[in-house]
Order: sequence, then structure tokens, then C-alpha cells
Amino acid sequence: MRRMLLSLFPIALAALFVACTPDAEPADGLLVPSRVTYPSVGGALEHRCATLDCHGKPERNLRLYGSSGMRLAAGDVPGHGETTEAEYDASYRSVIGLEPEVISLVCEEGGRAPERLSLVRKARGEEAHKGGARIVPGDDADRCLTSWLSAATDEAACARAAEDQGSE
Amino acid sequence: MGCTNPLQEDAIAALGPESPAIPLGPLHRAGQPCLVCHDGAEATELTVAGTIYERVDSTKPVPDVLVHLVDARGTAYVTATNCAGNFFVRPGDFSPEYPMRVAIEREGFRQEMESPVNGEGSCAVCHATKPGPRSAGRVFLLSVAATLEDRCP
Repeated sequence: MRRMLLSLFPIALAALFVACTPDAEPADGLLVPSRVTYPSVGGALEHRCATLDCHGKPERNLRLYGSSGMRLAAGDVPGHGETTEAEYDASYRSVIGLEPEVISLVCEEGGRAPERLSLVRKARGEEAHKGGARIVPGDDADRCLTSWLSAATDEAACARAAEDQGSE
Repeated sequence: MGCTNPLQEDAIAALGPESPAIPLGPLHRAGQPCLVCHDGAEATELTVAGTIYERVDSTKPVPDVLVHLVDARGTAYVTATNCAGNFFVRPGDFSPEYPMRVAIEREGFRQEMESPVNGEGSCAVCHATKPGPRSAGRVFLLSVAATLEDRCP
């Protein structure tokens, strides 16, 4: 019996962790949105933001990686394979590192007023942005991004946004 | 004295000299990022331009490829490659609002570009000669037979 309980302990611990921990994670004293759900957000943003002629360009701020854009590994080529975990990691660090104190504040306040972030303002075209408006407030891509910032990633919106990138 | 753009000057210099065998014009500098020069100041302004090859690892151009462009407004424009595989669009004909979707077609075979173009009119900026982490390699059409004749003068 004791052995069985011990074998269940890691599962119970993981369930507790998932169930009780907010989506936002502390990092060096600042709050950041979830790395776990970032791939959904990255997928929604990939064709909108991470193409080779935009943020998939190493010369540009907010460097983003993805299978159809800039690749991280020397042997990988755009248009081949899947986005790797290392690429999601690198893109995630770009996003959370852009305005760390502001993103922490947005996270702390449950995602309130996400337009405090340049990331959101620029993506919405509300601030000078060479790429113009890439998301519209309230659309699936916007809901995906802002729900991620509010620690409740709307996976369905992210999936629809990732699927619907061709018609943007 | 007018201002100069050192970044553009460097980019132009990096393209190297003209080939003495090819006169200036629609057939020159195949595979290079056209809009580096074709900005309306250095050379005739173009909005979209590029070169299409037989294969990613081939230097053989493909003529008569239809290049379908559809911009964010839904405006569609079709152009075609010449004997050097080059195609180009002048602003009076089509000035896309990005993002722009691209498809290429020849003899009924159509291939769509996976990701949209979000602002760069020169294909070769993202489709540099050699595939690598920052380049998808040459634009090519999968269906083309390997028996293309060189029709350029």
C-alpha cells in the first residue's frame, strides 16, 4: 500500500502544481507569462510576426524563431520541420525580455491593460510599427496574446489564430 | 548636396558588379535582391521582384511562371517570369498592402508560399542563394521538367 502511495506521489504533486499554480511564473523577482503555454501563442504569431522579412530577421528587435521563419540551429532551414523547443525558448525570452518590468506589472494585475506593452500596441498597429497592424483587438490572435498575459491562455483562440494566418 | 544612405550603398556594393554578358535591364542580376537598387532613386522603382529557378540547388531559371500576388486588401495581381527567371512589378501596376500572399504556377501546377510576405518586396532577401537558418534558399517550382531551354539572348 505504502509503495503504491509513493508511486502515485509524483502524479499527485504534478496535478497539484498544475491546478494551483497561476499561469504566470516568477522569474528573478519579476512575473512573466507562462513558458508552458507560449508555443500556442508563438504559433498564433508565427506568420503574422515571425517571417523572415519581419521579426524573423536577426537585425530587428524582438527576434522570433519558427519553422517557417528564422531557425535557431545551424542545420535547420525555413519551411522544413517543426518549430523546436529551443526556438520557442528563444522567442519566449525575446518576448518577455522586451519590457520586463511592464510585462511583470501586466501579469501581476491579471493581464489588465495589456496595451501598456509595446508588443501589444505595435501588433495592434496602435504605435508606429513597420509591419502595421497584425492583430485586431478582440480577434483570435489578440485574444490568444492577451489571455496569455492574463494567465489564462485561450488555447482555442490560439489554435484558430494559428490556423487562420493565411487570411490575415 | 543630397543625403546618402550608407546602408544602402553598402548593400549595393555587396551585390558586386554587373555581369558584362548581360545588359542592364529586365534580365540582369537574377537571384539578387532587386529592391536594394530599384527604389525609384537608384533605379526604376519596383514594388515586388524576384527570380524563380528550376530547383533549389539549380541556377537554371524558369521562364513563363505565373506569379500570383494577393495583398491585404484582397487586390490580386499576376505577373510572369522572363527568360532569366526574373519577374518584377512596377508601382503603377501593383503596390501591395502587406501582408501579401504569393503563389507560383506553370503549366497548371501551382505552388503556394507557406508564409505571407510581411513587408519585403525582394524575394531574394529571404530566399538567398544558399538555404540556411535565415534563408529558405532559391524560389523554385517543383514540377518543372529538367529540359528547359535557355531562351535568353
